[in-house]
Amino acid sequence: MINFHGDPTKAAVWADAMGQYDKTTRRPSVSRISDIDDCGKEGLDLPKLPWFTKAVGSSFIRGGFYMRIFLVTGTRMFLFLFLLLGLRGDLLFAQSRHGRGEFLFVYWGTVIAVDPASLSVQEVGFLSPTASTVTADADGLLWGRLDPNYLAAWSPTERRIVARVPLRHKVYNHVLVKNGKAYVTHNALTDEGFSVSVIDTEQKKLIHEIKGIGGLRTDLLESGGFVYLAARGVRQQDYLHLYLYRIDAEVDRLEEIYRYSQAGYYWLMAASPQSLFICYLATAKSGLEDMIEVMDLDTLRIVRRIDSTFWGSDRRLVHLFQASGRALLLCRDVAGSGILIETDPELTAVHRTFPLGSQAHRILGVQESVVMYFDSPLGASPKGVTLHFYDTGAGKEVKRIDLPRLAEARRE
Amino acid sequence: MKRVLVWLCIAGLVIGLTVCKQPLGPGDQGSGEVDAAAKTSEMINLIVESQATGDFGELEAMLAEDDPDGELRQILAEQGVFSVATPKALAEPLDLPLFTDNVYENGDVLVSRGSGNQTATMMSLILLQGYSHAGILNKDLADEPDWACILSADVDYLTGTGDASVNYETYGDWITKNDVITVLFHTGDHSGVGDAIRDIEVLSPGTIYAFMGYPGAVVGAFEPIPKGNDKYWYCSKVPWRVYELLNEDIEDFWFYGQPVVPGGPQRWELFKNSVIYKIYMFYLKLQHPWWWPMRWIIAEADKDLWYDDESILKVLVSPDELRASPMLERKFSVVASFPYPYKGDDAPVLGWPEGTYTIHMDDGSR
Repeated sequence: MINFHGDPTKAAVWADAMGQYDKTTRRPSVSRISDIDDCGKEGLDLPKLPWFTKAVGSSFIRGGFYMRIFLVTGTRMFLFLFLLLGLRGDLLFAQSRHGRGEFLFVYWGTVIAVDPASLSVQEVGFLSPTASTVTADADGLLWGRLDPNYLAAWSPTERRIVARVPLRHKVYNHVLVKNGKAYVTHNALTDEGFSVSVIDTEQKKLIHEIKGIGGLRTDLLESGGFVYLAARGVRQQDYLHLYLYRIDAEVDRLEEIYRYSQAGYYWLMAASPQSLFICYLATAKSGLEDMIEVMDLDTLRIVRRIDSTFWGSDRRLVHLFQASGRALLLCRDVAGSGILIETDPELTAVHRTFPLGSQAHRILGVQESVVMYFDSPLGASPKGVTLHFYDTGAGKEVKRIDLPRLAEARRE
Repeated sequence: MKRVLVWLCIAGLVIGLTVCKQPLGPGDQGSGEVDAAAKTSEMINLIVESQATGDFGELEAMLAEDDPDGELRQILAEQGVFSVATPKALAEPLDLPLFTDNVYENGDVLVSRGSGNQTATMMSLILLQGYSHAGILNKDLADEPDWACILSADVDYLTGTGDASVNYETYGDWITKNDVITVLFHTGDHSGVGDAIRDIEVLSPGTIYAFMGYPGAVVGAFEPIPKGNDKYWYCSKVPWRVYELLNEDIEDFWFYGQPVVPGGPQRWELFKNSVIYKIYMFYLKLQHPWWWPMRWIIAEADKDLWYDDESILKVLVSPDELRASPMLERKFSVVASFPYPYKGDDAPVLGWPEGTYTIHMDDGSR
């Protein structure tokens, strides 16, 4: 047992780096991490790693994890696990997960990759402080907003911006589809409505602009080779009316597939292989109830409506996320605390409900039983956003990382 | 009599030779008149582009041609023109309430000052002190705290023709690019402000950011953009036009005609220290014959800046003129490094004496 001579800070840093492991539950130890959290810090201060550790940092963490298994389980079990997982050097010296474009987010210009296996985060790049989204392309380049008017690519290996694609308007957010195209939304009202810029990330150039979008974007997602854009009207004739567009990423054809010509809601979306889930979130003063409409992606027709009794009439819908063969509804109860509801992908039956014990805003991603979520909007909470790791298998939070403290550690 | 005639002829000959002598032109002595307004516009555009891209080549080339003695170049260097503006570091993000907060309402006017973006760069060439950016809040759009809900205008032309200077800005846009933000509310009836904002959206598509004309613009080069022009927009014009649609003129028209301090120079005179004024003066001198009295050149510049009814500061509406408006009251200010809300007078933070925004004089004393 490593003796830190009663220094809780060092214990916290080591525990985070090594990934505390409870041999009883075979999972990261919640109580140990809580103990660390009780050392006067809301979150763990991550060590500022020298540059040369960045490439191997994640493998160190992973190697530490396996070392812990060895120490806890003994030689035979360790060998068994090692063989089970495959005798591959890349398990010990694997690239950071961000290279596969998963679980990335940008926090005030710092691009952060999240590794749910080790419950850790790693700074992997920099964009403008105003960047709201980041995606990784097939080459591992990280794309996001660079002021004044660029979608730019950051290279984690070269540690610099390696491409700048100038656009006609400021970037708001974007998605990246498998064919290498990025679809970028803008907030500028042109004489042909709002627009989306289409960028070839391989050629690193603007292909064209798609115009004729009726409002400001409220949500954007990619599914099955299509880009879905939810927008809300801002003109007199369609004020706060809702538009749903679909862009065929092969030919970049814009199609309006649905419209809701009343005020009182805004849309967020999620998609399963068969369906598009259109979440109607009631505005604060509308007095309306949240609901979800299910659109069949083959026929583009609404086939079902799900009302608030599904997740609880006294709960506000916050976010819907689809991953790993299930749907996760993020709700807020009357006290403002988050509720996580697990259902089947088509939202026909609630499987489990988890009170989160904290506010909840957006789900970042899901890895096996671990759900990662933010308790506040990233781009509008400069004083406090926490990334939570909730283990639905254990039914409890296993870690939280206080992002402002992370930002402070980086500046030191 | 004969002697008088002789002297008159000599004087006429001197004057005629002088008038006919071509004024020195940039790069080519005697090649033609210098259009000071066009040249100033051109140089301002190059400065903004250079600072945004970090490439000062074109600016240097223009200076090499127009300013062989390096006089203007030295002025620009002293003003920091050749330094690339860097975005504000987010070490101390502004403690601004989220736009979803109940402290806001539709039609709130926001004014700010910051650095590190194109618009701020352009503003810094003109406004040495005071607020440099403005917008108006459409709170109906603030259902999520990080959504775009501030209608404003900013520079959008570097990447092409620029066809939408009016756009919605986000909370992140405002707190990452500004060091001071003040939120103002209209003291009178503004129940129709939502409709007025939407009417602006009808007027504003396909717009260009400009507050001064440039070669090719429908207004003359270096002419101030009229507030009623629907093609050219700048930030503070947006909230002004919204309330103008409600028949409310929220500009403190005489703000720049007031003394900075009692007995001191008037506020407009401080613009003589601005980069844009110095550039304009440089080219005005080139525009006129070598013997043209300097005080006449200064008078011409002052007329263009303030004295004329169509002068720059009288035609344009600036963020400071909104801040000082008796029709807009301060709701709160946020200042970097200070907790919310900033309790002091925001004028000294912006480089003005205390009370600058709040002391209003009777029309008769202006």
